[in-house]
Amino acid sequence: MRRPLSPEDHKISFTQFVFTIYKTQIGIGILTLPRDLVETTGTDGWISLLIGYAIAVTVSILIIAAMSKYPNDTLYELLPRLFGAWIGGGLSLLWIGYAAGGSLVMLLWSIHLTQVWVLPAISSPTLMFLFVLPICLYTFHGLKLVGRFGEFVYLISFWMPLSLFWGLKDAHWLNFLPIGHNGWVNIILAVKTTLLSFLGFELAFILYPYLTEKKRAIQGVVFANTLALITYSIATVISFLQFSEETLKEYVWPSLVLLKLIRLPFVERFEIIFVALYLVILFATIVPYLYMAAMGANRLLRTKNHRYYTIAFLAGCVVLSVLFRPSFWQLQWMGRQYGKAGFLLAFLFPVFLWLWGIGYRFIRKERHP
Amino acid sequence: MKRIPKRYLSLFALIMLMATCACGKSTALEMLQIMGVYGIDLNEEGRLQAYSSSPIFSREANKKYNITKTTALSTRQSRLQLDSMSIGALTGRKLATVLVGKKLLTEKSIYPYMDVLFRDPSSEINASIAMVDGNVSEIMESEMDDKGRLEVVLFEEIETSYEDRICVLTRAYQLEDQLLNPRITPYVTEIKALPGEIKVTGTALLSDDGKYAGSLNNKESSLLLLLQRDIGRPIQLMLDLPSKGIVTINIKNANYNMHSAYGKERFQFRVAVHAEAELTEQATNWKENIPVPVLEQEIAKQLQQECDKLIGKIQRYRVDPIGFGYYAKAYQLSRWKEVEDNWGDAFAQADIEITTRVKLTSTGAVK
Repeated sequence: MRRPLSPEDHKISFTQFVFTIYKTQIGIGILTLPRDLVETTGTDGWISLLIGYAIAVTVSILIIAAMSKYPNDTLYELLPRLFGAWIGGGLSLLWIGYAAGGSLVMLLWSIHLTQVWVLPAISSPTLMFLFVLPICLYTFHGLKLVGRFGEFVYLISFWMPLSLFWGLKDAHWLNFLPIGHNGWVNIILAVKTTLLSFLGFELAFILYPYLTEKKRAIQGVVFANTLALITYSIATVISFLQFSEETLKEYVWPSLVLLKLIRLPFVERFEIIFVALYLVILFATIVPYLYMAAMGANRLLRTKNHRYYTIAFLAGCVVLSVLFRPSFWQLQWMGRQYGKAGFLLAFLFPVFLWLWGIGYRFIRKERHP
Repeated sequence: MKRIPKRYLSLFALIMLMATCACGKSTALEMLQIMGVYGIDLNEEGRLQAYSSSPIFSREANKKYNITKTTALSTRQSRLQLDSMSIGALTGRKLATVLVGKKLLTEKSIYPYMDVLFRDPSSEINASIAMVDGNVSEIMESEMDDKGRLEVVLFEEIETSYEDRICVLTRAYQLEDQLLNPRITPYVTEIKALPGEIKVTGTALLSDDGKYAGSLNNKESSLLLLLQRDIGRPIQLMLDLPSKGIVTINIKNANYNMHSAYGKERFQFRVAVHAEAELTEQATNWKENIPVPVLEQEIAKQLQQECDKLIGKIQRYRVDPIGFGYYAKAYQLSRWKEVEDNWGDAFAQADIEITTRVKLTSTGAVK
């Protein structure tokens, strides 16, 4: 706790940049995405997924474009610079709240998931305490450790989406026909669901200034989004092949039901092992968001150390888990609120920021030719 | 960051391990009642009767498995009652077979009784479902002295009968999908208790609301598997040919060509089956030498007649276990939407034309 972090602790490489964003994007969403899509547009969801991907890539590139004019600023320095101290500070506060809220929602979801699938008898404060410890360790250092964690999680978990192929027992390709049978309006409506699954690319706001190879930043965000698209496509297409629309609507966790179909001669209930390992992936979403919030608070209050905020937040989580045990519907509600905030901040705000940046520089040039 | 001294680390690990210890209620295997077979039926008064069969691990017990029986209102309640009668905690995690009585299926829909299986994340959704022609108690109480544990016998028998292609095999998750999916009607294995034996008699067809509609015998079940494109394992069929008498063929591979249309106010399906088969038995007329093309044609014709008979039968029952509804929805969407809720009736009206072509690949080791 003593040694302050040096700039060296924040430098991240290209692969760390890609995998941190990718692993932040893959969270709880993939476990429920097939059902979310089926509810709005049936088996045409894959089209919405592609549209969502295109939008997410565009917005990520806009983020890089907006940031590249001020290559050493993170979001929290950029906002006061472009909007002035007061408005910039307010916007920073919004972002901090969004990132902290995101990690809180994910933490609560991870606990719910563990309690439903793996350990039905364990109390949530115990779980929360156990979860908080590794998260704390990973957010204590600089961004470099967050990046390395992203890389590490990718390496140990790249087999997980592939294991869904095992669950494919009887594939009905006709489930996909006729294309567009639920109407094109619904396909557009479902894009909103898919957009939320791509949330996580907004981390580029804090990762970009520390990226060593800045020229490859755009390539990096496209890479990350594509990896996320591949992962989501595997989960949705396999679910659509295996189950009919009507059945998928009944499943709360369709991707995990797919895993239940796997029967290995030496191990039963494979999904328990999967969910237990999946916690690491969920942590890879919580850690960057928490870091983003702590970093913002640190900059906003002009303190020297982000660790105090991390500890305060995590301790708050443990206390919260004692006082409040959310039901599934409450969690869903929280997820939706987080989604709405994400839609405003991660999708609309970068576009606005990019346009504002252009206008800002244009006016400055007019005044000081 | 200053390193945490090693002794604190081990203390930390200890605390965390203690926390995880507390989360699992450790249970000894002897104390668990592991339900292998779960049976439900209606008794004479129309009340739900539930049975469970679990292996016994205790050394003192003489029998290898124990059967518990109870009368209840719902599946969950029956579980509670079975639990109260069993030695240890009842668990459905190793469920291998679910037996449903014919009386229950005739009077009520199967869906609400399966709900608990789908809802509980810890229950086994790979359990196979079978209908008992008769009372479930006949199976549960049948003598298994020369066979072994009831759950193993049932599991193996259904599984191997499916591999021998004389019945269908429906797992719990498949049944749920068939029940909810309007494009196909459910079907389950049908078994019957004979004195000292359990016989797999074929397939029980259910209507879309989960009630019993009719049965198929072993041979019709094989044909059903052929039309369902379930040819992962060869399908054995015995045919009576005009020239050669009774022969047995092994269908090893088949290509399907499906065409669907709508006309004359009904759905029209044309299925072309191109099968590759080998001759495995000629039971009667073994002296005469029939040229292979003639044989192929006769087999194809016979196969087509059998298929037509099967289609006629399922249309009479107003069920569609083959899944023609998939094609109806995929290619005739506007018409499909009109009959979506009542596919069984629309299917009964449909024109179905099956053409077969058989290619004999070998006649085995003899000419």
